[in-house]
Amino acid sequence: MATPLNAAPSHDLLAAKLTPADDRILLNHWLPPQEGIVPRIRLGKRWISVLWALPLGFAALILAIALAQGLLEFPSVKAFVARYPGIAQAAPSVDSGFPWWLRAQHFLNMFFMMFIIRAGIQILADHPRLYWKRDCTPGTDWFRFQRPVPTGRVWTAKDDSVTLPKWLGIPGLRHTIGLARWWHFSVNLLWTLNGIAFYALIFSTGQWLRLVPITWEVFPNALSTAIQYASLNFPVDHSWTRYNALQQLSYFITVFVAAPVSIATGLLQSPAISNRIGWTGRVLNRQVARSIHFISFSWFVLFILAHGIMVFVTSLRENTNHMFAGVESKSWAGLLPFLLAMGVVAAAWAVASPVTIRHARLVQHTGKFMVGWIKGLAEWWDPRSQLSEKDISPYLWPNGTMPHSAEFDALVADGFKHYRLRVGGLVETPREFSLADLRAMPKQEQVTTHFCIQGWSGVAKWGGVPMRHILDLVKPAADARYAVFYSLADGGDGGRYYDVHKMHNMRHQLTILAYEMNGGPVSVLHGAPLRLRCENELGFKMVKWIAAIEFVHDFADLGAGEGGYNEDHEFYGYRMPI
Amino acid sequence: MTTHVPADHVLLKRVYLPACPEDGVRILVDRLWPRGVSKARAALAFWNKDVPPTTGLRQWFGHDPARWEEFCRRYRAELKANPEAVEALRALARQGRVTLVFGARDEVHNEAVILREVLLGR
Repeated sequence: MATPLNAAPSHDLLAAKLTPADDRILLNHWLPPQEGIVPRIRLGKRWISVLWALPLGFAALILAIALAQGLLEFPSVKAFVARYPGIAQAAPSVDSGFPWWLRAQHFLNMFFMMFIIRAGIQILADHPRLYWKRDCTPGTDWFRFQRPVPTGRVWTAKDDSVTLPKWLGIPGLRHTIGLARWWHFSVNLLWTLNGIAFYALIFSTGQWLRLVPITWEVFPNALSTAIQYASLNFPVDHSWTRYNALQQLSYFITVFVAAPVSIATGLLQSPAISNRIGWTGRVLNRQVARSIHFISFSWFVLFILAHGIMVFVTSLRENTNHMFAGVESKSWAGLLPFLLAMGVVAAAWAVASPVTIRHARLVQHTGKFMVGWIKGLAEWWDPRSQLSEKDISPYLWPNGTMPHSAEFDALVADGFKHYRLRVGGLVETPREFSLADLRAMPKQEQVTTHFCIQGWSGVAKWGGVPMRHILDLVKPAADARYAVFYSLADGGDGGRYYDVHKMHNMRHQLTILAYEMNGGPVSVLHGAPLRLRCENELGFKMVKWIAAIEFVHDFADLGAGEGGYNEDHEFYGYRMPI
Repeated sequence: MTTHVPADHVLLKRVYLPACPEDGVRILVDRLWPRGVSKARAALAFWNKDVPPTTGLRQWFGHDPARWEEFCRRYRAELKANPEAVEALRALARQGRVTLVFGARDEVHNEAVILREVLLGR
């Protein structure tokens, strides 16, 4: 058949092995469900179930009540409470009520938090363990809701992921981190904008005086408030104008500590950011950031529970009048708007998971529209951060689907003597390189952290050819905008694994084609004979078992057109520096 | 020679959904004939009675998600004890697309899902 003159140049032979993908999650072709266990925390060598918090918390509550009531019998304690009744005398009162913008922002915050928390738990469930050290060696976790890592078989990070109830995670199915990340990041952006507007408005109107303690008396007053609450004689409530000290402190911590900490530790988990900011990224390594992110999340959950309960037990009617109607009265004005708001949250809660499963591609595209540009911007940073050889991890989680073909078996059998890397597409000189050719080229070694999208990380020393050297040899054409890496392995759903990178990623200092890992040849498990290292991206973009590299103008006609195998099949984004 | 079965060669489908040419070889993998489906509508290549869970195991499981993980273990053990039947299916799937057809309403906690994993060597 004759090729029309204006046709796009024909692709690498491997492009024919790419497969289309569904736009929704096909339940029975997805990873089979696997239940986790009740979360546990490690103290020394013992793992303690968090369920112990229930009886212990109950006992502590009873003790606190008895203690507070006993204490209030003492004249000195009575005098203390009389002197510090709960609201600091010096705390200014805010007389402008709760304006409409504050009430609207309060609602939006609640609405956004529902998505952020649920999608965040889903992201955690993709690697249901937390560590303090960046190497994630099995047994070094301090928190988990998965069994210990089985020994005596290959246990990949994907095997380790667990199913969540659909009402809890978004969308609840195992290994749906691609979709959960779109929810988490997109709503995070809205939540952050809402937060910035909130900061600006409270500080320009005087509403900030409700939240920020400006006298040291807040501490004795907070203690007094705690004693009064615990004794079940609640302190006098003036929340229309001034919060009591305990309330003020907890709101302050939530708005001015937990929220910024969550944003910072979220961003610190990104390879592009962590590898860009030098020692900060090395000290606050990904696992430290992930653990603090989780602790901050726990604060939010405890705060929401306590705040919700207090709203109910200290006059639901007056509190909802304040926050949902903006009036100080004994009327019912706030109850209907409150119920409506809760109805909206509940309805969004109910549809989030089913819609995500059914319209997965739409969620991916919407997420790309909302936050893809931020990821695109982050790709321009040239990451330089390196570690030293003593940081090399004793363990690096295996992942992905190994090559299974007669072709690959034959390559392994003769030690990759007959391996040829094809480099072609929109280039001046298409080339084929043997492993010996590549070894004869300039060699670059780097000790870097591998950031898996699932949450784990690990350090290894990589050695190979800088990608910019390959570019100099083949000379990509001016209209080549992307490099496509084809693997020798198929992806988990069948069809060839591939991934697409923007050209500027190929010119970064630490972008290499690695044939060595920790001083020896790369093992088959970790991508032999050749794998990509591109240190500003998440792990799945660093294609293992590379067969060919093709330079293209557009990737819409490859696979399902999303820019890579996991992008097509697991709804990831093709720009993943964050 | 590799014994691997490509993942896109083994699909799953409820018997109640219409058959289509992309299904390839349609094989029923339930022990009992699914209720209310005619032979013509099922459009099967054949009914494989060698690989479904034994009646005892099927009745014990009863599609109870709480028994899923134990069911996985026991069914995998049954399949391991029956290598000829599994190998025959694998040989078929290596040549082209097969679709394992089942009746159960629960598309996730379902023996065909495990059978597919076993065929794919997972």
